[in-house]
Amino acid sequence: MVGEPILEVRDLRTEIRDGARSVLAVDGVSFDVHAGEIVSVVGESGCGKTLTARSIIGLLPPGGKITFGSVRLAGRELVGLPERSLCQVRGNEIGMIFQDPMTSLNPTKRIGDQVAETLRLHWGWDKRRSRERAVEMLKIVEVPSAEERYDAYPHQLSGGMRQRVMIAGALACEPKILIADEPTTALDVTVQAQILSVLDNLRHRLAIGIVLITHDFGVVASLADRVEVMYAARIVEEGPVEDILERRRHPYTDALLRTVPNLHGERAYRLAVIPGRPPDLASPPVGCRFAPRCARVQPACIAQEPELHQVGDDGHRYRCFFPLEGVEIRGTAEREQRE
Amino acid sequence: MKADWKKAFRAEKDDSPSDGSESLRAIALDAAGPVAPTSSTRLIILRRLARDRMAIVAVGIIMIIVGFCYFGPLFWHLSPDATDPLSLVAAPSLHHPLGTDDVGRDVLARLMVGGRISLQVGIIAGLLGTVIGVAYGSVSGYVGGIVDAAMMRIVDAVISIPVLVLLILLSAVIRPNQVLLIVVIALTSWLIPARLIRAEALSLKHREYVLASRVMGARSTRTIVSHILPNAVGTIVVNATFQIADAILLIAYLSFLGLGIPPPAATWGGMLSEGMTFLYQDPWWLIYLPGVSIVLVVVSFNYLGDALRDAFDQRTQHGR
Repeated sequence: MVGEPILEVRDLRTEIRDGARSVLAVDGVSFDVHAGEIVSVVGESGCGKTLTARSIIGLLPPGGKITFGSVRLAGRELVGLPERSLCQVRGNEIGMIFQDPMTSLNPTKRIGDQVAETLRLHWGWDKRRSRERAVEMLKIVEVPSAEERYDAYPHQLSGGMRQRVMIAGALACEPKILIADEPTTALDVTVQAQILSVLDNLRHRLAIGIVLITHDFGVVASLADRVEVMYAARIVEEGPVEDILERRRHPYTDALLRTVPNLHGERAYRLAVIPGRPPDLASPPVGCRFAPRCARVQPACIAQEPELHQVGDDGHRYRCFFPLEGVEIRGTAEREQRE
Repeated sequence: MKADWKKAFRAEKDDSPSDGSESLRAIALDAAGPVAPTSSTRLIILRRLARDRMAIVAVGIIMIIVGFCYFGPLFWHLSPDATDPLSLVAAPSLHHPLGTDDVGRDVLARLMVGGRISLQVGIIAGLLGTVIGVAYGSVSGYVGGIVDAAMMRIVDAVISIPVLVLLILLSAVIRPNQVLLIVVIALTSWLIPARLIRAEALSLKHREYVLASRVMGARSTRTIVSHILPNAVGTIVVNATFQIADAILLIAYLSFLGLGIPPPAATWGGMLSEGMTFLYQDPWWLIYLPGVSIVLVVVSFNYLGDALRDAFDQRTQHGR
């Protein structure tokens, strides 16, 4: 990607404090998002993906606090901004959509009004003008008969339609960045594909940068330009999507990809799992955080945590002393032989 | 290579082609059903209410009594305060269809005018109390934490003061009028709605649409007004109805004890109190008429509240 990034996250650290216990839930996360680019943050549950997203918009759960680092949106620092200014950024310059469109819409308000809400809030538009634009937005996200649907209530819409409405609302004020937190997890697969194609169209049409948070490598493969793999609050590998999928270096990325069920692999194989559990972030391991579960663990891994190593010049980096070399995708080789 | 990957994963996800026809299919899939006619929640609830016979009866009684009190005097011209020394404690007759009291005042006229105080003070005080309680409770529940704890301790403290004692004290000091009664009843009755709405706000604030609205940049006030309160409207409306019933009953108590609006103004409670003198004698019209009026209004409002609760409650939706 050329040009200045729209969103720059640098060495972000977010702490969650619960009484005396304190957990560094996001630990030194850095990445850039350019216009029209989809950066995917992947990792298993509890690895800090969602908290990274919520740190960016400054809406942390109770006890959460950004302790270090910076989030710059088009050159403007967001960390440390007062709540009042952040309210003007949210929805206006950064849009966000959530996992479950069934619960993210207010059941007592017409969907069109919920799309128009940001326009009235941020642009001070009157009812008629914001209605026109909301209808236009509903059309952009491919809601059929948008005019009539404007007056519908959420319960009259399917899950896929509601997610479209959420996207329309998040994008109504033409934000520069859209954060999509597992936008398709709660939808069934055919609807998933539709929502992903809507997102894919939008980033080209509106030139927005998208931070796509997911644990689904299918989504990553079909949509992302760059991938950030998170494990236990840290980025363990990052790079262009082809590099991550085909030339992954980190054993965790490899293990994660091997857990993806594959129709083209051997017929009867057990679904791969990663043994063990992620470490307790209140007292993370001294060395590599993945070391306790890693199949390739060496003494050095336990003694010290590796830095991010760079390979090539397209920003592929990994945090491992003993990286994998040129991993072949399971199934692909066989498939190529067959063809 | 990337394209291969995409294909491989797409093939696992679904068998749709990876070109633009997906979006067409999306439209085809979701637009399969006709756009449902938009019927608002309000209409649904009204429709459910209309199916409830008790609710219809309750609304009917309330409307009849309101009509009787406010429009009755247009057709019945006897003054409620005019005494007729020639017919004291007279039984119902053509001249006095509901009889007269111990100083010869027409009971029908007094019943009409007396009801106005019960109704207007009760309804305004009930609504005002609900408004105060809703505002207080929603802020307390939404903000949470120390603010919530402090605000709720205040409620606990105020709720421990017996209302009747407070009112007796007050009316001993000040000569009560309607406005004062409204204010005092509202100021003592907001506690229950405050607690109820706080509980609602506590659970509603964790809903995703509340988070979604904050993500869109809405401030707290807006979030409360446009996302918390509309979703608590069932609780609010039902509670307001009960508040009105309670306020009407409270006014009747006070008047009965001689602490309400002072005589010669007619009130149902006051009429009942005067009639008690004749409890063991003949004139039933001095006791039953104001007594039954009070009971009818209070019971009707309570039934309406119950019916509204059923109408708002999603769970009973299919049972009816």
